[in-house]
Amino acid sequence: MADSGNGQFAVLHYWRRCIDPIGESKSDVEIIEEVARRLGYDFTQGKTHDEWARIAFENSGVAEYISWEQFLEKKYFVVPPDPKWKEFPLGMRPFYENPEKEKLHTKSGKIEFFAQWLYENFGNDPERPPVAHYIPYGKTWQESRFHEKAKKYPLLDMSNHQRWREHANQDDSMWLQEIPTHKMWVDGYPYQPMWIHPVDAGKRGIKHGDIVKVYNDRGAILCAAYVTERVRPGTVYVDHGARLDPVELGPRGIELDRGGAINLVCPKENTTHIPLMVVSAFLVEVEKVNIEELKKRYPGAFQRKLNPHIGPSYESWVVG
Amino acid sequence: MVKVWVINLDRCNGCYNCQLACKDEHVENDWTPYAKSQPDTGQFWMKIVEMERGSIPKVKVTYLPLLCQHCDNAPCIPVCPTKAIYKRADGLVLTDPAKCIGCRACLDACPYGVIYFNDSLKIAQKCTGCAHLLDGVGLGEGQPRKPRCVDSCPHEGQAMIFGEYEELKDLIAKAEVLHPEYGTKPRVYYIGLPKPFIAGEVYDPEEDEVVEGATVTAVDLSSGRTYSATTDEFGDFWLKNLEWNKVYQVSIEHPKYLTKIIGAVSTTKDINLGSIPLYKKT
Repeated sequence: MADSGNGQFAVLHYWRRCIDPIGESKSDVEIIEEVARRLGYDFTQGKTHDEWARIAFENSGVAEYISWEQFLEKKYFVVPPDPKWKEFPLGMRPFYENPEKEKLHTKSGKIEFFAQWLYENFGNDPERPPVAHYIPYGKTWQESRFHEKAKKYPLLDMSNHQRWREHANQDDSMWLQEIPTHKMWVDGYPYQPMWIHPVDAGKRGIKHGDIVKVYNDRGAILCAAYVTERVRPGTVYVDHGARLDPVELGPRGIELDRGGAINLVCPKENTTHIPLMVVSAFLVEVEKVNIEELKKRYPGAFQRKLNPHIGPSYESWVVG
Repeated sequence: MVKVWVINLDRCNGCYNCQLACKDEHVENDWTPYAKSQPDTGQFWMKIVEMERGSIPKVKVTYLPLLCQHCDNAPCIPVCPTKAIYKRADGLVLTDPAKCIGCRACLDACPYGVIYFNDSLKIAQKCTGCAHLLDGVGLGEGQPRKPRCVDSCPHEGQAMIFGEYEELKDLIAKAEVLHPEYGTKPRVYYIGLPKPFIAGEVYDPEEDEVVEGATVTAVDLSSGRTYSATTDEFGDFWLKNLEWNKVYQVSIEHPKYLTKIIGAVSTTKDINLGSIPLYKKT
């Protein structure tokens, strides 16, 4: 059983088993039960999963609308909005109408251009100054073309949420993989496209569809070059969420990935004081690779069994 | 009672819903005698074609949903040796999978490249206009009698419209067909097919500022037809809806600046003239 709320619709789902467990794999609940048991606790309290699901159902509020039996048959329930929803105030409307009484969660209770709490706790931290303004780079984050590092890694890589998948979800959907901005099929393999401007591609001898290495000090991935006017010169564009298909392991963990998982290349550091990762733009260099030489050097990785539709999959990793 | 598509490219934002819905309707679904099932991958009875136009920063992307044009003068019909391809009374062009012998003559004959070959069934396949749905075969509860591509379009009757020719006449008056020069008389009409543009930005290098309010005029050197635009607050101008494969003379005028003339701009493709300096009159 799972619930989801997105501000518009609250939905309660009844989840069933999709496939039988593979090998010794366990569900999340089973893992927790086992860990608890070994620590001397009984997580189940003597109840089965279905009994727990029913308890959750009865305490979810959905029982006011339909019976457990009806829910089991339908497997989900969309909770209707409160009939009085039109009377609820909009977002910041109460503050707008009565700022003295309906205070915001700031020290002054107002919109602060100078963040007082930030100043009291961290002073004039140059990376997180009390008055928000643009800084090219700071102590913990130097992924800027103005920084010295840009001499070595001159391209700024944008890494957005992809249009054709949600993070890594649907990355392997074969019909979506037929969309050329989602995957580029080269030698029967669905490579992650890396958008690059013709000027930057030309300087590096890269043509549309060439296999390229996108790298910096943190890691390297393989992509297929998507030469386009839709990105500015000096920038490249690789979405996050491509599935991992490691080619080479080394001191940094995965040294080279064929799947194009850009998270191997993007920064991992939090900025000072604020748990914030800036992973959508960072410095890289791109070069064309000799794919035949790579295939010879890493035969295991390049001969890994591929599902003809989805590329590397469960069968590629589990033997027997 | 001829069925037609009217596709408005100005509305289409390339969500690929039509391409995916088409696959959902025809992959693993055998609608014999309308069509046999489509293979999992490789065929696009409805295909989104992306066109990148211009160069940075004057770039436009046009998405063109491409399907069988259901031509009145379909070149695939006469070349079929077994008469497997036929035109129904409602205008839809269908391939009878039982009669198709897989000779591929229709694939070569179709100038639009919308007929596909099924390697495992050894037959030619293409868009059926979801004729089975129009005839009430395989309809879900409450599902409209429309092709799935049209039903799936999120623009709700604005980007992809399907209906009777007579009822859509007003809209068709604003539309064109793809490649009329092929002479096949398509029954798919497009609004907003790409017309070339000439774009650029105008600036004053001495002031290090863009020039707003300059009049940019393009004259077609063969017909004398003129097009004009004014630079905006970014100094940008777009001369839109020109004609393909013409040669234009572009002039940029502003009361304070010397007139600039750029000769012989050819619209074999969309043109970005880049940053153009203007110098002040003394």
